[in-house]
Amino acid sequence: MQPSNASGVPDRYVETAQTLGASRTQIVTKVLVALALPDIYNSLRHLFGMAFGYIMLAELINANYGLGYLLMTSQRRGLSEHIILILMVIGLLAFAIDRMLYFFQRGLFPYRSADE
Amino acid sequence: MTTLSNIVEFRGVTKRFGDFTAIRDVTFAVPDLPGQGEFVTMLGPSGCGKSTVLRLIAGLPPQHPASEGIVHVANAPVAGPGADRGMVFQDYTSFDNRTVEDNVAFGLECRGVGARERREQARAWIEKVGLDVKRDAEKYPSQLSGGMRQRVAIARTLILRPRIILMDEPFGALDPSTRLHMQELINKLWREAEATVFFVTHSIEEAVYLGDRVYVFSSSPGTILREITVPKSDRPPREMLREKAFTQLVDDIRDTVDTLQSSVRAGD
Repeated sequence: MQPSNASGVPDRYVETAQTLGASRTQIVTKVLVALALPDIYNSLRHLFGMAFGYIMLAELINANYGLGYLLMTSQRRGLSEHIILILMVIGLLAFAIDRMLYFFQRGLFPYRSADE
Repeated sequence: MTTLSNIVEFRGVTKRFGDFTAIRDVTFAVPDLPGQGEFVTMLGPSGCGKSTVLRLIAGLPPQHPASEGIVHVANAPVAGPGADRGMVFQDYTSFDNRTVEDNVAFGLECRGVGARERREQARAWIEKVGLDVKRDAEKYPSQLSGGMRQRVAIARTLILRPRIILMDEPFGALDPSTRLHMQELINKLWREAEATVFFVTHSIEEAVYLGDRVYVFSSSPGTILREITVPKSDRPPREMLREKAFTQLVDDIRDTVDTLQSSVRAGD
């Protein structure tokens, strides 16, 4: 995902920087990386969402602690109110972390009306 | 006057992309007038290779290098892009992650000018291109209108005091009234900049208003059909456009352009 973010910076920006006397290194740091950073961050945020899902899945299958583990034990013991509580906690946790990352995104890249 | 040196010289320049010939046998020379420069406008239909000429001067690939012929800037072959040849593009190319001030200071930053000096010069240029330092310096490009972005682009180029300024239809995407303001601004600024300007447009009024000389291009493969010298404009475009002499000149050139271009089409 990240390489496509960097190549997504239009050539025009590079050309503009060249006609303003930027060196190769300066083009990479001041233009390519600088302009691609918000997209890279955003990609990482989305990837985190997926990763969180996989962690939960892994905990369901084989773990000795964690929310997934609690979910499985509750199910085995027939504690349905616990199951519902745990599901709510998982959802809230995922939402809270995403909001937190989003909050940082807006602080780091104020010039981008951050894409959800 | 023995040998007058040329700031830009094209000798039999041809550029091909595979089977497509963008420009064919373009030859011209713009003399180096120290301390004043010249304003050259290039007129022609879309896709006639005007931009190719600009990009050859700028040294930007894939147009650079030329397939045939010689491109000289200040009596030396063009090796690649550099800050002595500033370029303003039609598309808005303000760096989105930088404020107006940091955008204008970009070139100075690349040169290693200190933060304080950068800030001072950038603010002076923001003022010169008609933006409000207090209100606009800290804004990001996404908060600016098209006209304001082009002002930033102009400031960013002129702050480096280039010998040559290349403008590729910089006002093409602006509404007519903003465009007139921008023409007036450029007309005022370039005299002060003492640079040679190459300005691509397909508006005849714009070419005549801004230019000292106008190169008329044929459609592809592009080549210079005629060079027309026009008088300097010293008043705002709004006034000039109302003047008989000015509109007469524009009409004459329009006729010339039409005749030249239709004869070329017939000839091919």
